[in-house]
Parts: sequence; C-alpha cells; structure tokens
Amino acid sequence: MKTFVLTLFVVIAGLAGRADAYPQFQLVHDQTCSGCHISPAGGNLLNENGLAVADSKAHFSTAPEFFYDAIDIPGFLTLGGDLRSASGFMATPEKVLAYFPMQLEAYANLKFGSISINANFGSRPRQFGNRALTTVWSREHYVMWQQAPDTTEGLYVRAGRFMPVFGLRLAEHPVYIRRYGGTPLYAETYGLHVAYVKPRFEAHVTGFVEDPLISPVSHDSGGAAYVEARLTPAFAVGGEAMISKGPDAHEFRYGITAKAHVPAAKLLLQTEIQFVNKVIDVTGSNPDGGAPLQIVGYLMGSFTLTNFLLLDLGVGHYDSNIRIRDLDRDGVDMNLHYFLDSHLEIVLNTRLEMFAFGNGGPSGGYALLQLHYRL
Amino acid sequence: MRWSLVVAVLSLAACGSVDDDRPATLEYITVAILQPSCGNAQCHSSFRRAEDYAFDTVEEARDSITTYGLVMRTEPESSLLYQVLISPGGEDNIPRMPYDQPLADLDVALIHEWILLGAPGL
Repeated sequence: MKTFVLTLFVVIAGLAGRADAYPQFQLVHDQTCSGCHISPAGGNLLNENGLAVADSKAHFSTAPEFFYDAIDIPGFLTLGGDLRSASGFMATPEKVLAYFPMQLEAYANLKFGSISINANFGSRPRQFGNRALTTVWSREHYVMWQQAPDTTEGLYVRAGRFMPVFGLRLAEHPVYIRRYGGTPLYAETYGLHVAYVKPRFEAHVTGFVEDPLISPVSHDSGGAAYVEARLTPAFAVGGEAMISKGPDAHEFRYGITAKAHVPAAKLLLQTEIQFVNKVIDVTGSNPDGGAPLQIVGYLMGSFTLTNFLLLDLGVGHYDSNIRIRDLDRDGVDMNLHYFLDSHLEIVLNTRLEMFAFGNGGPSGGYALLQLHYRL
Repeated sequence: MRWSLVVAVLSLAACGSVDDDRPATLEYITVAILQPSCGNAQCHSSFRRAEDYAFDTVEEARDSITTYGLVMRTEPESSLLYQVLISPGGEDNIPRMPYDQPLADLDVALIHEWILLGAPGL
C-alpha cells in the first residue's frame, strides 16, 4: 500500500516537467539557438529552419508544421506545443515505479514586424489543497523586439516571464548544471533580456525579479550574463555570471562553457563548469551565517548514431561545499533519443549517481522511458 | 577546449578535506540542504507544497515544521523530518525522502545534530 502511495505521490509530483531546446544540435546543424527557434535563448517554438531540421532528423518524414500542416494559419501567427510523459523505475535509493505526466503546453507567437508577442499555456503542478488560483498557467509570456525581424540574428529585447539566459540550457532539467546551476525546473520569472546574436558571437544579459503574482519556485532577484564565441564553426567557448538575492542568502555564480563538434566522430561535446558562492544571511539564531563554495559541472558527448538516433553520455559533478569531505556527488547520464517522425520522439533517460565515489551516502539511479509529441 | 576539459577533470576529482563544521541551524540547513534537495518545483517548494510542506525559504520551512510538528526538539529519532531521510522505504515503512535522488550522509547527520541541539532557529 505504501509503495502504491509513494508511486502515486510521484505521479502527482511528476505533473511538473517541461522541456527546452536541444543544444545537442547546436554547431551540428546551426550556429545559434535562434537558427532553429523563435526565441534567441532557444526552446519552445521552432522557426522555419527548425522545422526543417526536425524533419531531417526523423526516421519517417512527415510535415513538421503545426498539426502536420493540416490547419491553415495566418502568416503572422505561429502555433505549437509539447506533450511529454515518462515512466520507469527509480532507485533513489527507495525502489519505486514512477509515472511522470511531465508537460502539456501550447505555444503561440504573434508577429507584427519587429514586435512579437509570445506566450505558452498549459498545465502546472497543482499546489497542495488546490490553493493555486488555477491548475493551468502561462509559464512563459513576453513581448519581444527584434532588430532584424526577417533574420535570425541581431539585437533582441524581451520583456516578460521567461528563464534567465544562462549556461548550456539543456532540456534535461535533472542535470546538475540546471538543478543546482541557477536554472532549475520552473525557475522562470519576470525579467528583461537583451541579446545580441551573430553566427560567430552572442551575448545575453538578463535582469530578473521574483515573480510577485504566484508562489514561485525561484525567490531570487538579480542579473545574469552569458556570452558565447564560436571561434570556428565547430568550436565555441562561453562565459557566464549571475548574481542574485533571495530571502535568506545571496548567490554569486560564474563559470565557463565549451562546445566542440567533431564531424568525423559524429560527436558534439559540451561542458559547463560553474562555481557558486552562497552567502547565507547572518541572523540572531544563525550568527555565523555561512558561505559554502560550490562547484557544479557537466560534460556531455552527443553521438549521432544514425540520422534519427541520438545518444547522449553525460558526467555530472556537484559539490555542495568544497571544503567539506564527502559532500561531492557524481552522476552518469545516458539518454537515447529516437526521432520517429518530425513530431514524435521516444527517449530513454537513465542515470547512476553516487556520493564521494561511494563513501558519502547511498547511490541512486533511474531508467525512464519518455514519450514526446510536438504539436 | 583542452583547458576546459582539464578544469572539468579537476573539478570531478575535487573533494573537500575538512570534517563537517557547518552550522547546525535552521537557516543554514534550509539554504544548504532543504532548499536544493527538497524544495524543488515538483515537491516541497512554495509553488507545489507537496503534503503542504515548503522548504524553499527559512520562513516557509519554519512554518511547515512547526505547523505539522515535523521536529521534536532534541529527539531526532522521533522527528518525522529525520525519519523520512533514513527510512528504508518499502511496504512497511514511511517513504524515503528525497524521492528523486539520494541525500549525502553528512547532510542527514547535520539535520540529526540540529534536532539534537534543540533545533536552533526554529
């Protein structure tokens, strides 16, 4: 019974979930996120080139447009959406069968010259007791100005609700550089984002504030910057910094990224190393405050096995306090993506993780089969 | 690229050399352990409040712990907050937490020490 209850809990908890872009395709197909996505930060709606890439990666070719192009949509409107669910086995360390509904979201983009309005709408995890105003929400909504609206480069300015632009921005939110790296699941918040995108270089600066409208996941306000230089068409390096203030601490994050495409091996390597300094507020009952220095890192190799099979092998590292022995955590991820057609993807997500090479706590792991349908 | 790989390898190999001297206070435990391990979007965040517990800020953690009696001062073994961290799980036990990934032994030990000390900050 208790196993059932826990499984049910996981099911309910799993209502949270979403996906972003596939940085695994960057450099392999296009130099920038905006090469395939409407947003300069990647994620959500694909542009015309992104749709073509989606079809080129599919085992069976189909019309990649919204609803297989069966619906006539005015030129100023782009529609889309994502449905995702996953199920499988978790041992973290308690062994449970889990089902995660993950994501049910629709997207719309209305474009009028240089100005566009972007919004998504979908289900959200219900707050305990259904005290949330609703069980649906708009995770992202923003107005965007684009200097050169008929291109995928130049200056972009966004104002509204979105994730601060920072780091590799992998879709897989359990990876340490997202969970512990300043961009955890549902950390979107209100902000102003200025981006300058060119094939050889891009820069992003985001100012953000805690969402005043709902009980948010992230309580922080601050600023983030990310720059990436593509030194050759196959090699890019980046730098990142974020400063934020929450109700109990402020944080400084800084780090580097690198991406290398090795065409001969059909391999894209990506890495991010981030140093985090959390400065915990001094209070009467916490007179020493505390300032743990942390490291978060990830190294991922993505192998194009065939045109429609992509294998990610990743190694993550997170040390929640580098001074203290046996608090470091390492995880090995393997994701196998099968792109059945230009809309349907099947992914096997697996992970093994341990503390201090087995000396700091119980090890864990999971194997989940994920279905993803892009409208 | 080579430089970043070197940094990556060094980081992966990095581990501390000092025994645990972190403050056993509600403030430190919330920010350093409960918020990143328990207070995420799907679980005990203010956003989700699974079981009506939120551990993503000190104020929310204090409120959840006191409202639901999750901690018995000086008695960690009688405190639900500690019990769920060491439960073997399975049919006959309370579920093990966090459900989505393990927690370091030292983090569990610090929570044990905090309760044993009378839960300062609560």
